[in-house]
Amino acid sequence: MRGQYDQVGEEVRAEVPAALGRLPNDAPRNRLGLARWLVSAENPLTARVAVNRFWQEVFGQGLVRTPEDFGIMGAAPTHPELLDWLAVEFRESGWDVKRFFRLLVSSATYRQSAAVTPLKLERDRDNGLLSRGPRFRMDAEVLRDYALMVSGLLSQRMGGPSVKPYQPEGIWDVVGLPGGDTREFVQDKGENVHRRSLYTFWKRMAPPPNMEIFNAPSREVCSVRRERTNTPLQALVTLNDPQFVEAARVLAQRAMRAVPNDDAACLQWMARRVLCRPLDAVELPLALQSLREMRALYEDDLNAASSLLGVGITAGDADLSKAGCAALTMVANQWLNLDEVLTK
Amino acid sequence: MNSLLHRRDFFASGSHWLGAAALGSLGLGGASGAVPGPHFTPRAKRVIYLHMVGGPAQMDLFDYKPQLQKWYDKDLPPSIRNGQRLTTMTSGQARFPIAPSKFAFSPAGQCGMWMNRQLLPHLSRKADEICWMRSLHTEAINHEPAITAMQTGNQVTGRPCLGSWASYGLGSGNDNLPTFVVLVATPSNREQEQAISARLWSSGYLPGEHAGVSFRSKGDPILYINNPPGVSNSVRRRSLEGLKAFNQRHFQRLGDPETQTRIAQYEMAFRMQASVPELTDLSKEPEHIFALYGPEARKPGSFANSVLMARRLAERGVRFIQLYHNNWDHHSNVAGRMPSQCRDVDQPCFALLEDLRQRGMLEDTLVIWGGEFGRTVYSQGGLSHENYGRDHHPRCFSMWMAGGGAKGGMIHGETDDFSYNIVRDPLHISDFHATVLHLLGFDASRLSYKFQGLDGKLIGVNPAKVVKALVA
Repeated sequence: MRGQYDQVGEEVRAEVPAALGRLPNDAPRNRLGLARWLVSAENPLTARVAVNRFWQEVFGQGLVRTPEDFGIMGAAPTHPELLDWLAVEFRESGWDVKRFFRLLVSSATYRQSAAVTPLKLERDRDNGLLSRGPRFRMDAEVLRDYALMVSGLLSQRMGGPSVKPYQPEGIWDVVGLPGGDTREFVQDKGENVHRRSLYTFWKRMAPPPNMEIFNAPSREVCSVRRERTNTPLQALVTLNDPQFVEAARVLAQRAMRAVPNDDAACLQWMARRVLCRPLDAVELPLALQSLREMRALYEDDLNAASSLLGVGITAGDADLSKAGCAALTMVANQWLNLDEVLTK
Repeated sequence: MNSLLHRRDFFASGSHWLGAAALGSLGLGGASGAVPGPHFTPRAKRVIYLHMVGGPAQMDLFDYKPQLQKWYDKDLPPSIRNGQRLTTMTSGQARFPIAPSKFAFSPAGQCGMWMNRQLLPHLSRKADEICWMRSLHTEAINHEPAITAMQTGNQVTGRPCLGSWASYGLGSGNDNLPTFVVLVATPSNREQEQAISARLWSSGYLPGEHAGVSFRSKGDPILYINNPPGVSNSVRRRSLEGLKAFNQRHFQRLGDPETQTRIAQYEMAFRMQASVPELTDLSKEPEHIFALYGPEARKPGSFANSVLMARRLAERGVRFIQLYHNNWDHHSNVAGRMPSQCRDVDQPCFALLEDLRQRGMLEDTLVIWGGEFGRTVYSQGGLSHENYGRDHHPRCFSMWMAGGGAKGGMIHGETDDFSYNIVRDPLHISDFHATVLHLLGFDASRLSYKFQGLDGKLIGVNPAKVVKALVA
């Protein structure tokens, strides 16, 4: 008893926790019996927990705010009937995940504007009543992938060993054992620098800092919900990390190639890629002014322009004006830091 | 969840709250409603914790055992070991021969602290300002769980460390630097380093803003703090002004308070960028300061340099500075390694206490020195009169603290003649934690955070006692 293998107590047989129900009498007392019970109509918990996590993925927070805990210490659902309806819908569709996500993203609730009015702020500050569409800062991996995607750098290759994109010096060294095989970080070359963040090599004693700073879980324990902080250290990542600076530069190069000699049209081309919309009548003059100021600064300091254009492994475009490209890089860098871009 | 509601309330109630609310959400400030605040008036407003990674040998530094000389190369009596567990590094040894310390001890200060003044001549001059603790004990016998227990109160990773608790409990004392800073010093000798992990300064189950921010001696002092090549401060300033205008426009459109928070964060990031170069520029320190800390203080990343940096951080209102000094894991060659380890820390520790005293900061700055466990009195591997090694020993070890309400000249606790078991005033690490929290103004049993249905605490679920004898 009490974990001692040589102190045998009363014989017990496999069963599910009593609070959750019972296995049917004729069910085999093994994993098959448990599996059948898990997905049976008599056990609504599996489908509820699953749809709550899908909901969280799309809406930023679950109908149950504690997706890891549906027990007495967890939060009660904000919309219990909806949760049940979704659970039954999911189960009866044959557990069709893709169909379920389509249902969520095509719903009127999801397609509402995310705008916050004073009334909504007063009555529904945390959007618990779903009075507006979801709006939340994207996760660490998504942010990096997004910057790579809009700049055209993102590798579409799937699978394979983990990769080592840019990382500040000394991250592994200070925590590594002498002679350990992950003491020295050696950055990858070529395409591996631009793979999806999912493939980034993860040393748990010193995770990639640009992921960690944006609340990526440590991967030491399972995590079904992430924190979503908003800190100046995050601003420093998206402003200064070579990964983001290179993405801005390559985006600027592409924009100048696509729309040469027309600042306004070039900015609009870039806006469609980064913001998924054109600049409005207030923003365009702001952006034009920014671009021209930056260009003037870089025309006075072509060395600085060259330095900026040298960030990252991707080749520069020698045909483009250095000052112009550096200036547009700074505009792109600015846009990749917009609240609108960092936020879903 | 409460802190979130408060924060949003601030936004709703007027823009003057913006700065405060932003501070609270980023570990740069404690002005938000989320800070529990002390339970009573703190003795210490800030902490500099010098962790000696690897576990210094207590009987070679602070736990004087003159009787051992006559036990040289005799076996540790079984009555002393009493069947207690050993690490697998020595449990297979045929013998456990006693290795008396080869270093010269003598009493220091009015308090008469017998210590290794041969290797710690500077520190010994502070004997009467230091609270000596010779009866620490822990359950963990290997580095990773032991250092985790020492810092988080539990051998299992995932709990917040002392620095995170201080950040959570007291909040920030400044508005352009992090609340909790980590410095990893580079020892002169790196051959016996133990791996440490960034998880040691993670915030565990506390909100992420209470994680330690690592200041580095190579590359950017704070990760990503420097502008990219070719981006001057004026370019950055203009870029951020444009960014703000765009964000304001977006706020007009959507009205989400989070946009205002983000605007504040970018302002804060810029302020950090401006303040960090001044902070890390030691060239403005006067000559007499370098004379005090020693010539190594000019060498980036050295222990002396890091301790001086710790003083500068403390001066600027950083609440908790966690400093690591590695290479104390002396399984062999104590004779070769101990002198350079002590040389690394001796003068700088003295200098830190003296420097803080001269600035009037010692009385409210708690300085802590110690490792994660002690070492065995018997030799690991070969024993000679000249040299020996020592294995991990969790049953007793020595630490010291000073300033911040710690009682100077106190010599607490006593071990047996073999520095193996504690015979008087045992000080479990959990009681030590409760005492440190007490000096910071907290009742350790009430400083808690809801997590997985429990009131998570530094001291865990067992009671811990404040050791009043250690408090001035």
